[in-house]
Amino acid sequence: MIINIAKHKLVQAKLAKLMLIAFSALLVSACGESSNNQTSNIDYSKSYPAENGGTLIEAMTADPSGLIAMTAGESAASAIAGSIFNSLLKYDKNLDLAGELAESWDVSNDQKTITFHLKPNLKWADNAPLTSDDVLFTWQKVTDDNTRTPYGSDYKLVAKAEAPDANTFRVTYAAPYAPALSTWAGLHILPKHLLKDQDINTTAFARNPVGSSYYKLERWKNGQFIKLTRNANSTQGQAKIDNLLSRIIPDKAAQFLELSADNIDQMSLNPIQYARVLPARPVLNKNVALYKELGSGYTYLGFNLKRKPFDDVRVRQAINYAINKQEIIDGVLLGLGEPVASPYKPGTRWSNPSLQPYPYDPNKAKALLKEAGFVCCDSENYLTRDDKRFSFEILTTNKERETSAVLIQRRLKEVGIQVNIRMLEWASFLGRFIEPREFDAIVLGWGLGLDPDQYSIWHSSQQGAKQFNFIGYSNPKVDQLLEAGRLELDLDKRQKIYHEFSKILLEDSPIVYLSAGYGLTAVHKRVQGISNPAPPAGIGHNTQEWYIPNQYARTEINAN
Amino acid sequence: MIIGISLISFFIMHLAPGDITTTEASFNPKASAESRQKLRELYSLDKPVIVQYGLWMKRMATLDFGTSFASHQRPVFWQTQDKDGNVTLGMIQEALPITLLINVLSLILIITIALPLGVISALRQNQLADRGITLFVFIGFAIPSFWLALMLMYWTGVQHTWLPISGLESMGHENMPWLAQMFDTLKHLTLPVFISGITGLAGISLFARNGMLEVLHQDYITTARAKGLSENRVVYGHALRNALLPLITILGLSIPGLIGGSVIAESIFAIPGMGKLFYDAVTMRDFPVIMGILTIGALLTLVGNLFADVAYAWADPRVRRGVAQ
Amino acid sequence: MMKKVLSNPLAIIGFAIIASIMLLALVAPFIAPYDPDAIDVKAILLSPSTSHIMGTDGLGRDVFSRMLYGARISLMVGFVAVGIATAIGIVLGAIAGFYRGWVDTVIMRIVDVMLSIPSFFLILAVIAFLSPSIWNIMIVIGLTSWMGVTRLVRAEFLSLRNREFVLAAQVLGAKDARLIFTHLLPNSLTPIIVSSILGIASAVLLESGLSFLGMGVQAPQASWGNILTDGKEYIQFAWWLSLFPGLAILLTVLGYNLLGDGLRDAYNPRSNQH
Repeated sequence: MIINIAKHKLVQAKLAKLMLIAFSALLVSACGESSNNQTSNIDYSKSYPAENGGTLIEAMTADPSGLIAMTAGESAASAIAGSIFNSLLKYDKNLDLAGELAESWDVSNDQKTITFHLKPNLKWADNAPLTSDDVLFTWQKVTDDNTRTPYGSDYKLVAKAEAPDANTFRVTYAAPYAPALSTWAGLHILPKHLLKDQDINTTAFARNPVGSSYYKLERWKNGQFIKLTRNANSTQGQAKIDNLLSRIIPDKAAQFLELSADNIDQMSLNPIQYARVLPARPVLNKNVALYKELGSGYTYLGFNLKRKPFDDVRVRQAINYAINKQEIIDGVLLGLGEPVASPYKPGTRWSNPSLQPYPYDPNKAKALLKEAGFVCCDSENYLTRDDKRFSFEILTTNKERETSAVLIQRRLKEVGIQVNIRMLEWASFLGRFIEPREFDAIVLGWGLGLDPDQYSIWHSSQQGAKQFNFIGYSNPKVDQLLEAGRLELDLDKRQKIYHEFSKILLEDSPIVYLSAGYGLTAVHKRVQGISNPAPPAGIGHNTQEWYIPNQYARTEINAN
Repeated sequence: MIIGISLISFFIMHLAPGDITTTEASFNPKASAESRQKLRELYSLDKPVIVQYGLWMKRMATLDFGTSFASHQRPVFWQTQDKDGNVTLGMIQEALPITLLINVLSLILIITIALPLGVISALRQNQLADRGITLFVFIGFAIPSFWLALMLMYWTGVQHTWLPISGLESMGHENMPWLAQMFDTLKHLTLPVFISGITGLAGISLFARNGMLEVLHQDYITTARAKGLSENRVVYGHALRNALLPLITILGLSIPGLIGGSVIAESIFAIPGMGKLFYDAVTMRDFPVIMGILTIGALLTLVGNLFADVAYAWADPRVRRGVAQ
Repeated sequence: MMKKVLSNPLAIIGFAIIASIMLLALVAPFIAPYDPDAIDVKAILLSPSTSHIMGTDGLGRDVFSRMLYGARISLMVGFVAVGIATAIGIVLGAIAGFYRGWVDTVIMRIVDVMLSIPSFFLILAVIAFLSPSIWNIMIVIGLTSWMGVTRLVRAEFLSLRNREFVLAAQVLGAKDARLIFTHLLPNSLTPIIVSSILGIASAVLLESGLSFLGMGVQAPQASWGNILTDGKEYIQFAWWLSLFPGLAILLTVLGYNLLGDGLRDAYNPRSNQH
């Protein structure tokens, strides 16, 4: 019996070993670079003249909830809806306003009335004419109290909207409202003839839309893909690529595998994929072009200004000096980001070029803290004031931000401030901490707005429970500038106002700007005509000019 | 029972701080506080909890879960038709068949592999083959499935282009002849089915093994042997049949596990089934969808158990006779 | 019975695996070469070498140190979750099996309801709503996995209830509590232990699954599940980030299963006859 057990054990061990070997073989083979990938033989580095045709396949993480942007509201929806619908205006590649459906627009002398002149002979994809009546209808819908949209408030400022003739649309505001123009770049115009008898909240149109832009919906298979095909009636001229196919692949790792296998042409990357993984994969690296563009948001450390000691500007500045922003950019974004000094996209008109982020200067930080009454040090080497240790808690909501918080924690420890970090799920973060103002500091992000108006974030009147100035920032000078900026439609004067605003904001340091990450995209080299380097609006500003040379097109199975 | 389920699912949702209007996507300075409040009213989220529960019970009784919060156009359960004749398919209606198909396929796979393994294990109890099989099925159970999935996706999809990596259809699927379409879908399902199959081997094969062992020691087997029946007749004719009876019940009970276990596989393979639908609904605080899935899932379980009972009664002569009396 | 277990090499292997992993988790602070949470932006994604034997992760943290500390978290999730489930299961199962009648009916109805809801959905929903902290995860897994133990204990009690030694004790005037704790419970302990051991394995796997969906133990606290999830996006590039935690989970779950299965085999009277 004993011999038997021993034998068993031996065999067992052998078996286990064998399995381990087999398993590691699978692993090793799975980790090696592929050799028999058929697509790796084609040389994608030649450039060809632009031509029509082909299908661009891109990966998305989520199915849009619908394609009427005003009721869908999330980014997945607006990305696709943007290829189907037009607005009156658009942002051009330098992020300046330009006409889209509108050929031109005038602002009245009292700055209260804007008149849009539509381009002539516009058509919907179903051949019906697109007129100012459609625009009026869209405005009525977005301001209708029964429409489930969170975006109605801007349009409700319009006191009167009218369509005097088929090509003219006029809106009159009760008071001048400078952000008005930009709001008309964000409202997709909907066809009245298809929607007038429908409930916009539940209409099947949202899943089967008819628009006026480059593409129209061909097929939407829920949770699988959305296929757009060229719209012959496009109001903006013809796009070169025949079809845009958006495949829904929720897992980023799976997306990357699909890119490696050449099953998709375009996906967004994270910094590690961009900076480390792709360069380490020669075949993929040869076939895929990488693009980086200015991101659309920035990360910040915000203080609860109603709490001590953050009511003291010296303390806020000290913390700003004590944080090494470059380290955060290097560590969290692998260098793929920029420091910012104002809440506007660097390089655009609203960003004040004379402003510089606070340099990393721990000595200055210590000096400022001393000035603010903090003394060194308690038993654990932390600063104290009135025998109380300078210690606060940073709340945050996602991993990237949390990593920034960890780097902040370390730097602040060096100047004698103790930081604790707590990561929370979004809804409880908002409901239990932000709305009742139960926080010391937060690491969070804001969008880098295209219109400079940031009244709802910084104006002292916007501190209600569910409003956005939750850090409790209040500065009469800033209030005044924000109010003035809303009334001023002249671009140069407006620019001055916001440059001044950014300057005060930086000095006041109610938040510490941490970093603005780049948007990172990989596009297969079969797709040509992409602007590189990307203009401020990003590589997507001219997708209609992207093309796939016939030599590089995938083989497609076409209907007979 | 149904009331219990409804209470539990309702209770869970009201644990939640926040609702659809407070998700990160809607934390946008362009979305004013008043507009968000208005949304809450339109969704009846401002009503007292008890009123909301009443509304919910009403919907549950009619299996009409309304439309999704996150996607206003889509009915949660079954298709609706508007006055122009446009049909909008229900979310569960679309997702459920996909999940069921994968689960049925993987159950078939599990049974065809696990049963023979279990029987061999039992016949060779405590011998090398038994130990090897036990180790093998446990490794299958113990591998984190998404890890194995990614490895296999890379190996069969990137290194060798044997199988598609994710999704349910290839590009141009709709233009293929139907046989090719079926083959295409099967190719897409191979990995997901394999992954969910390998994790399920252990349960069934051990069950079969222990069931066999138990049966093999029963008197009637000894009798059968004593009668001089061949070992094969004994094992396959008498023992196996009886060992498998309880398996029917196990399969009935495993339905909720199968539906619930699909979340990870569906996320990684980009398959729009019930698991993916539920996960999205949870992150979006899409209450009608969460409620709908929990209810439908529970109903399916009930139906599954019912089927199992009926099948058991049909297969087991003792029960059958008991019913007849 | 011990002899029976000892003659099962798989059970011994399982025990050895678990014992060594527990030992490593215990001594983690003494053998971890680095602070598991120390970020080093100059050492991002280094492959395994003599200074970092399991390489570093996307933030330059030492994977080996994180694995050691992660072992504590992963094992703790398993133990506490199963502890909660077992406690609930024993109490409810004992009540149902001892008193029978309507109490039994009510409890078993609750069990049926809980069993009919896909438990992973339940866990996912509750954790998403309560925010995924390690305590929430353990509690929620515990609260959704007690049904098996309840049924087990109830069945054991029902069968033991009418055995001579119990009836004798009752005739001699033993109180209910005394009957339950000194006579019934000790006699049903083995199946409870077996099911707990198997339950720990499932809980460890469950945590890694939740991590994959972003609802597991949250960073910076390391768990095997979240180390593995961190690594999945670089699975072809930084293989060490997914290989080590993947193997650790595999071995642990395997270990518990082999041990649990071995114990079950050993106490199971049927297989003894062979």
